[in-house]
Formats: sequence, C-alpha cells, structure tokens
Amino acid sequence: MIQIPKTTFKLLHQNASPNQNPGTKISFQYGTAGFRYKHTLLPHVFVKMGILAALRSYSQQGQTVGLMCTASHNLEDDNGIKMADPDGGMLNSDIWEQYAVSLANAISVEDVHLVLQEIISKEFASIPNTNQRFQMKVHFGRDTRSHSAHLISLAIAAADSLNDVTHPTFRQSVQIIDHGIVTTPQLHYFVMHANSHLLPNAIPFHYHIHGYFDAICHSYLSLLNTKTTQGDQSSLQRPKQRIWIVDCACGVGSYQIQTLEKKLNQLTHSLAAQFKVVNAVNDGPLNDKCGAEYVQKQQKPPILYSEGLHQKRIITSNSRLQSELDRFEKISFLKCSLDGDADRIVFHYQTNDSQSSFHLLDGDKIAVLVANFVQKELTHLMKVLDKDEESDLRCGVVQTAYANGASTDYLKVCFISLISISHVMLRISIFVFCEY
Amino acid sequence: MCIAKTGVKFVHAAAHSNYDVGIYFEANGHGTILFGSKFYRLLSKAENQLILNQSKSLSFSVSHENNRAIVAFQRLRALPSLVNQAVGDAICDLLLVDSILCLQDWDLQRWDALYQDRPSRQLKLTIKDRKFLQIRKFSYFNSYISYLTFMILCLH
Repeated sequence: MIQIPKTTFKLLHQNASPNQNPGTKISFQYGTAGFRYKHTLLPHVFVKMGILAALRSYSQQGQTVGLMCTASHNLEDDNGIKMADPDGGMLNSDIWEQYAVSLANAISVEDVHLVLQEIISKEFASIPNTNQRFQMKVHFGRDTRSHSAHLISLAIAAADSLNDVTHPTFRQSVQIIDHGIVTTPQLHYFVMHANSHLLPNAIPFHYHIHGYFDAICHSYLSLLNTKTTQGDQSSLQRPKQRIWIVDCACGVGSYQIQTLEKKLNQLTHSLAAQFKVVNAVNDGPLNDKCGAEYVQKQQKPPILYSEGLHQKRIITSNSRLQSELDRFEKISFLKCSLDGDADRIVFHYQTNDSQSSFHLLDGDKIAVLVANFVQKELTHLMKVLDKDEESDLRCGVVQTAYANGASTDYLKVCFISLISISHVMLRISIFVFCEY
Repeated sequence: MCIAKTGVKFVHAAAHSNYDVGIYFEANGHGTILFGSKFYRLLSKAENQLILNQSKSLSFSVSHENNRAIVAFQRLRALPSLVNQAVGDAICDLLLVDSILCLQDWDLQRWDALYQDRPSRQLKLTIKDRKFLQIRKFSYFNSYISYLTFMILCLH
C-alpha cells in the first residue's frame, strides 16, 4: 500500500471540501470544460487535481500531461480546472474523468485517501515491479483571474508533494513546469509538443512560449510570402496595410497578442498585419459585455473599456471617416473578439446603414473560409501530381448541430467531401437545439 | 462533411478519425485544422514531383500550372505549423484568417458575402439543479440532438 505523504495530507486538510460544512451539498461534475464553479468552491478541487494529474502522467508511462486553470468565457467570479492528455487534447478517458469526480466529491481527507488508494490499485497493479520507472511530468498554466495564481499554486504544491512518496515501485520524481499566465490553447500546445514522439507534426523542444510564437509567426510569414510569388493582379498596387483591432475580453489574450505584435515587428515583413489590443487585462471586467462569447451570443459589438487609446478614436469615430481613411491612407481596419482564455475568436464589422449595421462572422463562416482556401490549394496541387493512393486525400469539415443551416448548405454545394449529414436539420424549418 | 455530437472533444475526434485534412469550427468560434500522416506524405511526394517537373522543359500552359502548384504546395506546407493542432486557438486562427484574406485580397464584407446566415438566436438559461432536466433524446447518425420544448414554454 502506498502511503500518501504528510505534505499532501496537510494540503488536503488546509483546503477542505465545502461539503464539510453542514448543510452544504455540492455535487462536483467534470464537464467538457473540466470543473467550473465559483472560485471559492475550488481550492480542494485544485489540490486533488494536482495529485490526479501526476498519477495520470505515471499511468501514461511518464508522458507529459497538463493542468489549466481558467473558466474561459465565464465572468471573473468563476474559475475552473481541466486536464490535458498527452496528445494535447482534453482528458480522454471516462474512467479518469470518473476518478476526478470521485476525488472532487470526497468530503473528508480519509475519503480522499480511499479514492486515491483505489486509483492506485486499479491503474498501477499492472505496472511491473521492476526497475523501470517513469518520471511524472505535469505542465501548469493559468489565466488572468485574480484568484487563478493562488488556485494553481495549490495544484502545483499537491503534485510536488508526491515527491515525498516512499514506496519501492512508486518512488518517482514529479517534474513540474509552470508556464504562468498563458492561454488555454497554448497550454495544450505545450503538452502536445512535450510528447513530440506521439504526433507526426510535433516540433520537438517547442513546448514553451518562444517555440510557440516562433512556429506560428514563421508559418504566417511564409504563407504571406506566397502572395508575391503568385503574381496576383492586385500586387501591382501597393497592398493595403491591415490593422486588426483585437478585443481581448479583458483577459489573457491581450498579453499574447502584444507578444505576437512584438515578435512580428522584429521579423519585419511588408505584408504582415498589425495587431492592436483593445480590452486588455485590467481595462474592464473580464468577459463582461465584451469578448467572443458576448459578441457571438448577443450579436452586438463589444464595449470598449480601453481609455485613451489611439485606436479607440478610430473605432468609435463614424464609419464614414473610417472609409475615407481606408481609401486615402490605404489602411483597412478589421475587428475581432477573443474570449477570456483565447481559445475562441469571432470577427465582426459595422456598416453605416441604420439598424442592422452589425455583422458577425462566426465559427461557421471561418470554417467555410478555411475550407474554401484549403480545397482550392489542394486542387491546384493535385493537378500536377500523378494519381495514386497517396493523392486520394480525405479532406472535410466537421460541424455540430449548432451550425447555421446556411453554412451547411454552402459546404454541401461547394465542398468535395461529404460523409454524412443529419437529415433532421433539413426537414424542420425552425430548429430548436439545446446543450446541457 | 459530417455532423458530430457537440462538445469539442467529439468534434475534434471526428475531424481526426474521418479525415486526412479535417477542418472544424464550432459556431462559437472555437476550431482548428487537423492534419493526418497521409497529408504529410502527400507533401513530401509533391515536393519531389514538383522539382522533377521543373527540370523538364514544359509547354507554357503546363509550366504555368506547375508554378501554381508550387505556390499551392508552399501554402499547404505552412498550414500545419500555423494552426494549433491540439485545440482551437484564437491567436493561430486570427493569423490563419488574416493570411487567407490577404492572399485573396478580401475584406470582411467580401468574406461575409460567401453565404448569408439564417436568423438564429442563442440563449443561456440558468437552472437551479440540472437533475430536474428531463430531456428527450434521439440520435441520428452520430449526432446527438435534443429538443427542449418545456424550456421554451418556461420562456413564455
């Protein structure tokens, strides 16, 4: 039997489940977004998830896993934690999700101990009692919420406390990599690239912020480089300078967009766009009347909290001035909104014709734009290639039932690959759909 | 195209297992492109063949086609490391959209004109305890769709 170290116990004692209070009965559930609750309910969950993540890494033969502290597009008061599996995706095991739920709902420290013993006996019985040992590796990241730093420190301390385990086969070290404030997708990216043997496309040693920006900036510029070589007719004129006004929902995206802007400035490229942040951290309340969730659900432009910014004048000034700027200064202003942890983006613009002047370009529009582009380029490439098995590429789009029917119709008409489609959507003219 | 159960995990899995180049974006703006090993094999095959083609003396139209294929190759090669293949990533997707718009000399209006959205509205309802929810489910292919008529009644 593996003894849980004293340090771990101490953390569990210090961060008791709120269900220990008489009259409180919260049932903690692990959803697609992990655990997501009011931040005051979460300290014990973070301690438990810190332990669980280390065990998950061990059960995966020492591959890296990740823990991200964020409540994404929720308001400031909420927080959450979710685990990333070695492939960089979400935790992909019903059994381990169940472990997480059992741990979170264990009330006393003794209950936690029992659940941990159960996990260890189930998961590690099959691991041979040999000299082969795995180092447990856990990457940590958090968003900009005021309570995130404290919460993630609990998970880190809990994972770290397993270093004190004394057991012949389970005497392992836990490697902790704390990335600090990062976006959710960045943390997933780091985990994926830390296990670079798993994927054909992973870039070894890119599991940190510099590697991330190196990879995406260089790919971005090499993609833009193809514009001149193609000899587009428009390239005879000097192309318009594009300035993106990026609404960052007053969240972590603002730091990362600023880093992106800096990095692109260093690389100086005539075709690269400029990225200006509005709604940065501390400009206003997180995700409140700004950011992708608000803009997409309400179909309204975000409130601009940033004061005294040059671009504010430009955005809020009337569209006529903007179109004049467009014409004479060869600048186009483009707007988009990220959500609080920068895993979603929607685009929008306004025209100056009365009521319905706000136009939203949501995920469906992005899918169509990207599918269009990829399909066109693949067609051009395939033209000159010999036909064989390799050139029979399966290329397609996946949509959920949330997708706007018009985008589904467009893709059906214009896109090559159609595997299956739900006919339910086609027969019913008004569609009510619910996710719970 | 296929329609998956909602929840990014299922969409991601569907894109991964069904396609060598799988594109997914949820309406809420979360999405990415996934590339399978066959795509990478195609790229390396294409590279060899394009070099070979260039060394041949080709007629004008064929060489024009070949040049365009080289551009396509360069573009497709840049994509896998531009997007975040682990999960949807707003920063990567912003760069992806910007470069596609730039390469085609499109603005947001031109892009928006690809098709016109049907009217829709999304609402979020807070309920005291989700256990009280009784939902009639039915599945159709791999979709997972639920009607919630009583919720609509609640609204009125």
